[in-house]
Amino acid sequence: MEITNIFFIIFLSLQIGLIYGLIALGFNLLYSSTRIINITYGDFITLSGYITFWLYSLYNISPFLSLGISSFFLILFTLPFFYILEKFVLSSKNILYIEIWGVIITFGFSIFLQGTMSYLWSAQSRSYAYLDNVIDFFGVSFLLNKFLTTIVAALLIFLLYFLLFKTNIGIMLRGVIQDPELASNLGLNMRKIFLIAFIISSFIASISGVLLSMSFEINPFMGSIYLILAFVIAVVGGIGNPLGSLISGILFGFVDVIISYTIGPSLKFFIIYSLLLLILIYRPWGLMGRGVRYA
Amino acid sequence: MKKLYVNKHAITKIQTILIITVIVIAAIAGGLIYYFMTQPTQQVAQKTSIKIGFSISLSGVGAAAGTEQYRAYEIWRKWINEQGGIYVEEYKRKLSVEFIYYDDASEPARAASLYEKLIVEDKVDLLLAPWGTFIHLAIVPVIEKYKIPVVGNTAGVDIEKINELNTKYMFFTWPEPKTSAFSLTLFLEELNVKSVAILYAQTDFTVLNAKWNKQYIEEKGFADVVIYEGYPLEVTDVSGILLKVKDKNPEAVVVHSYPADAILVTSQMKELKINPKVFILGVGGQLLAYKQRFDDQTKEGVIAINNWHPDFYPESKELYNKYILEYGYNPPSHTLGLGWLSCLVLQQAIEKAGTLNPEKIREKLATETFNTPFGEVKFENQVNIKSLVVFDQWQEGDLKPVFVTKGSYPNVEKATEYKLAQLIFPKPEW
Repeated sequence: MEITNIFFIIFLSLQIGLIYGLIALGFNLLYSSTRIINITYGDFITLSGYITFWLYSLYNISPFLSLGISSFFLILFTLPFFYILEKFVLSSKNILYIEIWGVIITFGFSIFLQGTMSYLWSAQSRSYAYLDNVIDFFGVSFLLNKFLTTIVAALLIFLLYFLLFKTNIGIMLRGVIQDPELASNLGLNMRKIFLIAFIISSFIASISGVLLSMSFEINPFMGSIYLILAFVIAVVGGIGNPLGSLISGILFGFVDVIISYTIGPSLKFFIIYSLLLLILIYRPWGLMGRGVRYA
Repeated sequence: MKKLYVNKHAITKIQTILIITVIVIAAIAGGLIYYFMTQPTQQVAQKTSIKIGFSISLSGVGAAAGTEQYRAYEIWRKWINEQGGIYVEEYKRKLSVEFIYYDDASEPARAASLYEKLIVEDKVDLLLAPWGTFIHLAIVPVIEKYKIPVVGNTAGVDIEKINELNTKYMFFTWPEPKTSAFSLTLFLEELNVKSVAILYAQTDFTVLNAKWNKQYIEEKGFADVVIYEGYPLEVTDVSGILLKVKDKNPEAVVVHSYPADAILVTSQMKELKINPKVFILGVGGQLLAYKQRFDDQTKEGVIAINNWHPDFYPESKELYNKYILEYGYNPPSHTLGLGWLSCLVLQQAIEKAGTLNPEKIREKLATETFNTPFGEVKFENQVNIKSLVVFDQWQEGDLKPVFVTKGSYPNVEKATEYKLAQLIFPKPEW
C-alpha cells in the first residue's frame, strides 16, 4: 500500500472517528449525569443541520458562523425542554423512574420535532455545496470542508476535555456522574449541574449537526441514525466515562475504515456489531466504563 | 277445556277501519322508505367526483422520495380538475378528482392495512400507488382480495418476482432491472468504453441492476468489468472501494446508487481525483439534494438514469412547470415522472373503460396501449413493455437528456424520436 494511502486512511478514520466520538460524548454526558436517555438527541443534530442549511442557502451565512448561531438557538430550545423534564422526571429520586419516563417523554419530543421539521420544510432531502474544493496535504488530497470539519471536531474535543477536567463545572459534573448520591449529600446544586449537562449535550449536538451537514444530506428523519450510533459508541466506550466515548468513537472510525479497505464494506456492519456483541458479553460495562449504579 | 273460537263480533267495524288505516299508513311509509332508500342510487347518478385513495411515505425511510411522489399526485389532481376532471361515459360528464390519503410511515404492514381501510371504510372508487418497491409488494394481497387495480410507479421489481406474485391487479411501470441494465449496457457500448467499474448499494433493486449490467457487458464483450463491488446502504465512506477503482483506472464508472450514497460516491471520487471518461449514477443523481450538494462545475458531465424529460412533450413540461410554481425548483427526477405516468395511465384507463368499475378498468389496463407524455405504455404480464430509459447528463447545472432507449428486455432499442442534448464526452475532470 502506498504511503499516501496510509495517510489518507488515518485521516479518514480520524475524521469519521472524531465526529462519532463527539456525538457519543454528548449523549453519554447527559445520560450519565441525569440518567435521561435523550431520544431527541439525534433530532437536535438534524435541527442544527437545517439551521445551517437555511442560513447558508438564504443568507449565504458560512456554516462556520452557523456553529455559533445554531448552538445559540439549540441551547435556547433546550431550556424549556430541560424545565419540562426537570419538573416531571428529574424531580424523582428513583433512577428507574427517571430512565423510563425520560425515554417516553423524549421519544414524544422526538416525534414532535420530526413532524414539525417535516411539516415546515418537507421530508425532501436537502444539501448545500460549501468549500467543496480539493486540497493537497502532504501529498494526499482532501475535500476542504472535510478537512476543516476534522479540525473543528478536534478543537471542540480539546475544549470539552478542558471543561470537564480542568474547570470547577467539569469537576462537579464528573462528581455527579461518579456518585450522584454523594454529590447531592455534599450540597452540590444538582439542578444547576443537570442544566449544565443539558446545555453541553445540546451544544455538542449542534456542532455535530453543522459539521455533518457539510458532507451529508439533511432530512427530518436522519436523527435516528445518529442516535443509534451515539448509543452504540457510548455503550462500547462505557456509560459514565466521557473519555471512553471519545476513544470508542475513534476506534469505531478506524475499524469502519480499515474493514472497508481490507475485507470490503459489505461486511462492515456485521463485523462492527459482532464486536459490539462480544464487548457486551465480556465487558457489559463497556471498554472504559464502571457500570451504572442503581440507588 | 275452553274452546278457542273467533266470535263474529270479535272485530268491530271500528277495529276493521283501524287495521285498514294502519295497513295503508304502513304501505305509504314503506313506499317512502323505499323512495328514500333509492336516493343513493340517484346520488350515484349525480356523482360529481372520483374518490381516489392511497397511502404514501411522508415519514420514515422513504419520506424524501414519498413527499416528491405525493406532490406529483397533487399537481396532477389540480391539473386534471382545472380541466373539469376525468370524463366518464357512464355518467356522461367529467368528474373531478378527490384524494383520500394517509402517511404509511414507510412501513409495508401499515400501508397494507391503510389500503384495506381506504377500500372498506373510506369506500374509495380507485387507488393510486404507494411509494417504494417493498410497499408496492406489501399491498398486492389487499388489491387482489378486493380486485381493485393499481398502476404502480416507484417499484423496480425483477420480472421473475412479478411472475411469482401472480398478480392481476398490480401493474408495474418502472423499467424492471433487466431492462434498465440492458439500456445502460447499450449506452456504454455506444460510447465504446473498454473498461467499466460497477459499484452498487446493497438493496434488492440496485443489486439486480448491477448483476444484470455486469452480465450483459460480459455477454456483449465490448468491455471488461474491472471492479464489481457492493456496499451497505448506510455507508459513510466508500473510499476503500474507490482506491481500488483508482488503481484500475476504468474508462467508465457506473454506480447503482440508492439515493444518499450518490452524494457520498461523487464527493469521494472528487476527493480521490478519479476521473473516468463517463460517470453514471442510478437513483440519487437526479434528486434535489444532489443538485444542491455540488456546484455546477463538479456536476458537469455526471450522468443519472431517469425515465422522462420535460423537454420531450409539452404536457409533461406543463406538469413540471406547475410543480416548480407550487413547490419550488426540483430537478426532473424519476419519482416525478413515474408519479405522473401512473396518474395519467389510470386517467386514460378510466376514460377508455367509461366507468369507475375497477374490474373493467383493470381489463383496459391489461389490454390497451396508452399514449402519455412520458412515453407509450403497454402492459404485458403486468409489466410495461414500452418503458423509456433516459440518460440525463448534468450540463451547466441542469439535467439534459443525452441517450434514450425504449422497450423492455430483451427488446430494448435506442429511441431516436426524441430531441437530445449533445453528450459531453469525455466527462471533464473534477
